[in-house]
Formats: sequence, C-alpha cells, structure tokens
Amino acid sequence: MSPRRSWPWFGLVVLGALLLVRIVALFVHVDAGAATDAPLLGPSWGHPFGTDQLGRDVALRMIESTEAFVLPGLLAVVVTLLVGVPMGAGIGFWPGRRLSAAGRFGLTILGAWPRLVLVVVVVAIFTASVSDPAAWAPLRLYLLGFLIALTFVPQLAQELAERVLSFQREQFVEAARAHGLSDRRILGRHILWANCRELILRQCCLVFAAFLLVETSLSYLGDYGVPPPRPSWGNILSDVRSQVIHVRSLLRPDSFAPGDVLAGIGRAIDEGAALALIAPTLAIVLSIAGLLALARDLGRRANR
Amino acid sequence: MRIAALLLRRGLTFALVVVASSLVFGALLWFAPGSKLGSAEGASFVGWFGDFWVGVFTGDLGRSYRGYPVSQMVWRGAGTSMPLIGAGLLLSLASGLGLALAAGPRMRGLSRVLRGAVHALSLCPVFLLGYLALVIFAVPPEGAGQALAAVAILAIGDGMLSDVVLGIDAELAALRKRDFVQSARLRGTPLWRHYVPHLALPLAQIAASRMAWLIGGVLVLEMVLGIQGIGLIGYKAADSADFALLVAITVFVTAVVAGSSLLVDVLRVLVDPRVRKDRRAAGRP
Amino acid sequence: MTALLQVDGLVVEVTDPGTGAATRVLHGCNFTLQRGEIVALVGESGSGKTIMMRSLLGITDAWPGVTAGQARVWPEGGGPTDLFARRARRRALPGLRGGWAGYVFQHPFEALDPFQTVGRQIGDSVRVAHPGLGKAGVQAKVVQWLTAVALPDPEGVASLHPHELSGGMAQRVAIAVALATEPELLIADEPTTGLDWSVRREVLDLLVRLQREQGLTLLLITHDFAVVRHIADRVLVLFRGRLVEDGPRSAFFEPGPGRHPYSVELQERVRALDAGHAPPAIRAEAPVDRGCPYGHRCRSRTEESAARCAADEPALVALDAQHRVACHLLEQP
Repeated sequence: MSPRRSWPWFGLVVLGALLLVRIVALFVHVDAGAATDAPLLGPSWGHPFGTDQLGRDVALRMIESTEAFVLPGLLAVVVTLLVGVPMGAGIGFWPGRRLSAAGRFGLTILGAWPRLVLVVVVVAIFTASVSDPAAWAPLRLYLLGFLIALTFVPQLAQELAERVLSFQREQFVEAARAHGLSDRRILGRHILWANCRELILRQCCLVFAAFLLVETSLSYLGDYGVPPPRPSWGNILSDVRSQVIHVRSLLRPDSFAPGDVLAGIGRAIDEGAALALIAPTLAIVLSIAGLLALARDLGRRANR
Repeated sequence: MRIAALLLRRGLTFALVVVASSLVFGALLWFAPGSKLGSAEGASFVGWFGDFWVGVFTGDLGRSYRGYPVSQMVWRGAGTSMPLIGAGLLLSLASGLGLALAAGPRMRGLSRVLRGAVHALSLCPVFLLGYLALVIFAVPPEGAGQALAAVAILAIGDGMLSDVVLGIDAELAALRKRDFVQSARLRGTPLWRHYVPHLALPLAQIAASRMAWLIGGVLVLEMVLGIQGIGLIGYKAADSADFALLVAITVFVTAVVAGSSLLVDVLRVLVDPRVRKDRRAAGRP
Repeated sequence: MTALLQVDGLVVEVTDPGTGAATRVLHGCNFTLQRGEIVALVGESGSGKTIMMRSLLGITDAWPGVTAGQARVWPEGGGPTDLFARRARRRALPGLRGGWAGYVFQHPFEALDPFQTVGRQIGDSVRVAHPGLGKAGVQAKVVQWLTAVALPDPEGVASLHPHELSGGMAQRVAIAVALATEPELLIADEPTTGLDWSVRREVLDLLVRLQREQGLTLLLITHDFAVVRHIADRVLVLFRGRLVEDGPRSAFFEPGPGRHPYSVELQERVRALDAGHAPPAIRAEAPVDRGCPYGHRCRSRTEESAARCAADEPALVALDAQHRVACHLLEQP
C-alpha cells in the first residue's frame, strides 16, 4: 500500500488554539452569566456570535467554556503520566522483580474493571454527598479528570511496558551499563525520552480528548458536568435546545434552490440561536478531531 | 478436558470481578453520606451484601426508593437497552468490515471519501450526534424511527466506528501478508475460509474492549432521545439518591462488561485449535 | 524440451521502509524454464531470489513490485499467457488455471493455516485440480497425497492441526498442499532451512522423486551448493538483483569454458563452511552506479579488464548453447 500523508499541523494548531483561548479567558473574565443585551441577536461587531435566548454573549460564553476542560483535562494528563509512566517503565525495565509482577497483576485487574461505571458512580456519589453541588462543581471536574486518567492508566502502562521491554533487551543497554551509566539514567534518557516519548504523548492526547468528550456529555446532561449559569460547550447546546424548533423552522427553505437554502441559513444565523448551536458543535468536533489527528500522527511516528 | 479447565478458570475470574465490584460499589454507596441504604435499624453492610446476592439469584432485590421492585426495573431497562447495544455493535462491525473489504482498486476514491466521513462522524460524542439528529432530522419521540437512530448513533459515535475501522484495517493488512493467505491466492482456493476465522477473534476483541464506552453511550443517548432504558433509569436513581436501585444497575453493567470479555475467551477456545489441543506430536520426523 | 516460463527484463522495486523511496531490487532478469527440468536458483541472502519468484507469481506484498518486464507461460494445451496482465484485479488469468504453479514456502508453519486441519488444507488444493469431486473422492486423494509425501498414518495426520506436527512433518504437508493442485511448476523456497540435518536429505529426495513422478518443473531456491550438485539440471546465479550466470550443472562442477567469479566465490564459501572454517565476512556494499556490480569483490580482475569492468555493466552473453555468463573477463574478445 502506498504511504499516506500525515497532518501533524492540524492537531498542533488545534491544541495551540485551545490553550490560547484559555489564556484569553483568564483576562476576559466578565461574568458570562449576566445578560448583556437583548436576547437572540444575530452576529454583530459587539457580539461576534450573537446572543442567546437570555441575552448573554455567545462568544464570551464559548471562550469561558474552556475553563471547564482545559485545566481538569491537563490534570487528567498529568495523573496518567505520573501513574502510568513509572508503572509501565518499571514493569518493562525490570520484568523479573516481584514488584513488576504485582504491577502487572494490578493492571490486569484495573483493565478488566468497568472503569467508566466507576467514574459515573463516584461522580454521582460525590454530587449526592455535598449540600451545594453547584459550588463544588469545579472540584468535581478535577475529580472527573482524575478518574478518567485512571481509566487510561492500564492502556498506557501496558503499551509502555511492552516497548521498554523490547528496548531493554537491546545491546546498547549493556554497553551503557558497562560505561557506568546508572539504570535510572539509561531508562529515563535513552529509552523513555529517546524511544518512547511519542507513545506517551499519544496517550496524553487520547486522555485529553476522552476528558473533553466526557465533560461535554455530562455538561449537556445537566447535573454532573458544569452547572448553569457557568458555560460549557455542552450546556450551551442544552440551553439552546428550547430554540431548536424555532431554528429548524427558520432553516426550512421555501424551495430547494441553493439560493433559498443559503437564505434560510442566513436567516437562522441572523436570528441568533443558530450560532449558539453551530459554534459549540464545531468547537467540540474540531477540538476532538485535532487531538485525535495529533494522536494518530504520534502513533505513526512511534511505529516507524 | 483442557477446555473445561480453561473455561472454568475464566468463569471464576468473571465471577470474582462481578462480586468484587458489587463489594466496592456497594461499600461506596452504603457509606456515602446521604445514603439511604444504611438507614434502616440494625442494618449492617455485610448483611446487606448477603441479602443482595441472595436476591440476585432469587430475583428479588427489594424495592427502590419509590417503591418499585428493583429487579423488575433492572430487567425492563435492560430489555430496552441491551438490544440497542447489540444492534449497534453488529452494525458497527458489519460496516467496518464492509468498508475494509471493499477497498479494491476501483473503489479507491469512494473508499477514501467514505472513510473520511466515517472518521469525522465518529469523533463526535454520542450526545452530540443525538442532539444533531433531533435538530436536523426531527427524530420521533418513540418507535422504530427512534430505535433506528439510536442504533446508528451508537454504532458510530464516541469513536466506535473509527476504532472498528482502524482495527479491522490493521488486522486485514496483517492477514493479507501471511504466507497461508498468499498460498491460497496462488492456488485459487477460497480465501474467505482463511479470513473469517482469523478475523472473528480480533473483531470480538474490539467489541469487548468498547463495551464500557458503549454502555456509557447508551446512558447519554437515552437521556438525549428520551428512551426508557437502563441508562435513564440509572441516572434517575443516581439523581434521587436511590442507591438500592443504583447498586443493582452498576452490578448489572459490570456483569455485562466483564461478560463480554469472557465471551471473547470462549470464542477463542472455539476458533483457535491451538488453545484446545496443546499437545505436539512427539518426535515423528 | 519445450519452454514453460520465459521471463524477459524483469524489474522489481520495493519501498524502502526508512525513506519511503522506491528501491530497485531486481535489475532486468532474463531466463527461461523448460518443462520437466530441475533448476537451482542460488545467491547469497538479500540477492533477490525469493522476491523474484514471488513477484512473478504475484504473491508478494512488496510495493510497487514488478515495474517492467514480461513473463510468459505456456501451460498444458494453451498458448503463451502473459503473467502480468490484469494482475491488479487478482482474478484468474485466462488460459491459466488456478493452481498451475505451486510454492513451497520457507517456513512451513507460516505456510499452513493454524486454524484448519491438514486434511482441509490439502482438500482445498485437491478441489482446485478436481472441481467436481465429491467428499469421499477428495478424502481419498488427500490420503493419497499424504502417502506420497511419505507421512506415516495418513488418515491420522489429516485430522491434525499444523501446531501438532513436527517441523519435518509440517514441511511435507506444505509440499502436499502445494502439489495437490497438480501444478506444472513447483517453486521450493529454501525448503530445508530450519529442519534437522537428518530430515533435510529426506525432504530433498522427496521433492526430486515427486518431480519425476509428476513430471513437473521444479525451481529450487537455495544457497546450498551441495544440494545444487546433487539434484539440479541447471543453475541460475543471482547477485544483488542481477542474473550473472545461467548454465548446466556440468559447467559448475567440471572444468569448462569458464564460470562467473561470483559463482566460484559462492562455492568456495560453502566449501569453507562445510569444512568448518569461517569464510571472510562480506562487508556492507553500497549500490554501484557504473560498471560491473561485482567488480569490487572480484578477485579475477586483470590489468586489461579493470578499466572495462569499472565502466560497463556486463550483459548476459552466451558462452555456448546452454551457458550464459555476465562477465567481461569471459567474453570472447
């Protein structure tokens, strides 16, 4: 089969954009919950994405939504790294030790567990246990990040262990030891950094994408994600849900001629609610697409 | 004999995982603040645990917070959700297989476009696909149309179809290179006889590994589309702190997920003769 | 003797996994296989022996594969068929029945499907040769073939799976699988590598016997000159993708008009290995732009020929009716 092109730039651009928007969000922290204008305005200079049915600026809400997943998502990545990398590296580099056997056993158990169920149950219990769920929402998001990280640890650790094991047997390890390099240095510098970093980074992308997916889903559903009035791409979509019929009626063109269809779309956008629908959808899809593209490219580089 | 021993061992692992999870989830829910599980006079966790498992086998798991029999609710919910999951899984595997096998030279352009569309759609979260289905296609609130939409969304979203297609592609590519496949091509013997058994296991493996996400997807989808399945019932149980019902549901879900990987092992025994007959003919040249 | 397969100017390219560029591994090979003869294809590892035969038969996953050249087959009762026609569609070529050629792979356990019984796999081949045969007839033929490859208890073996066989048994089964389609050409790719010494001789004798019984053309890929001496009618020598010598066995083992310096080197290496001495290591060789590709290793170069050897790549030239060599030193002045 002829080799395929890879698009590393798309993923990197998306990642960069997300981080940039998050940083911008730190500065434009206007209370996005307050109505600033008339409801359902179309796009204009003051409101690039218009306003939603409560008069809130959609663009601002979109930006502030990044608060919901960027840091907790990064936490998920960090936890995955902190737990998964030492486990995988240790099991792979010293496969004979009893600790490694215990680690392998633990990973098998964790892998067989229905981890997503655990996540949902823990989040549910957490929510039920606190008196004011809305106030605890940020902590809940970090808890969610932690749990999602645990669901990815077995995958990362096992893949990493396999790879480290295959390198550990190579001759250069013996040579390095003979030169006096400590095991830790060999493992860290020469195996992990030189040969395994794409694999590790790929898992990080997957963890982040999974977290984004779960957070937007839960926020859409209502209680277990980001509670209103704080915005999240998920709950912007659920807010707009009441406007859906209205949008659909606007979109229905008088005829199927391209001109009329475009006019219909233009009308819907002008009426404001459509953008509140399109923008989060595109944001979610592009973000996940970017992260997965990055993961795929890293995976290819790792296997070369 | 060896098969029996193997299956017994796997069955025991399955039982262990399910029982252990009921212990963990039960403990979490029992000792959680605000739980009504432990509120009755003289109730102990161990006592409840024993009652629970007796109840699993007798079919009586007590009543939920609002008074409905728990086992009945779990059963009803499962009856709605499991067929959706099963159909979604089958649709996903069949589509992935079709796409991978149809990659002949004439179809290259079409295949590329289809694959691009598959990956683009697949990365959408299930809730988003459900939402878009509601907005764009006005999916009816019940009936066959809704079920069809649900099955299609489960088959595609949350990365399901993407994973399936990538997995099958990889397996097929590896399979095509193997000498016995090349030999069949040269001799003109039927290729499907080699493809089918060698693809069955990897396909089942992919299905089992996605089971947890499928169940998560069903939960979300039921909420979006308003389907009265086990996901919706579980969510309401969590919402109203109805932990008796919630425990039953989580144990059921655990059993399904663990059971799917058990089924894969059973399939392996059936398909791969090296597992069944691990004896080598002694020293005949 | 009639020709079975004629190959002209075969060029095969593969994709270098590191750079992704197409690399030529066969540079325009020409040879003809006659019906009923036993031909040995020799060369060191990496010379292109396996890829040549597998590309001809279309069973390689190298890409892009055959990029130039022509290969024609004269099957039983048919005119010349172009082997490379419609290769992309992977359908049976008109005029060539499925299973006209058989291939015995280097690793028998890879050549057999681990999920199917021996009997099933041989049975599939039988059904290619005899499409209308019923279940009982197929079973009978399966037993017949297992007996022909000298396996004891053929009915018992037929119900076994490949992992239950020993290496020697598996290779015999693989031979039976290849022969059961009753091919006109059998290619055996280093069929005795990985087998015990005691078993090697038996497998080779088996191949020769079957060749004689079935009257098929046998092409044996090997790097073992003892084997060549023992059974080959003709020898093809491949060096780094180029056919450098094509002659009868006598030309190799008896004094005569001359042999290619590489053939001499190969034989000496094998003799040294057999005697227990380690032959000098072959250093990594860079591709050669001009001149004879063997030139840098050639020990027979003379002052006069040095210039020519460095400038022109020698073509395959006939020394006599049966013997062709590609070497400037042996050409008639």
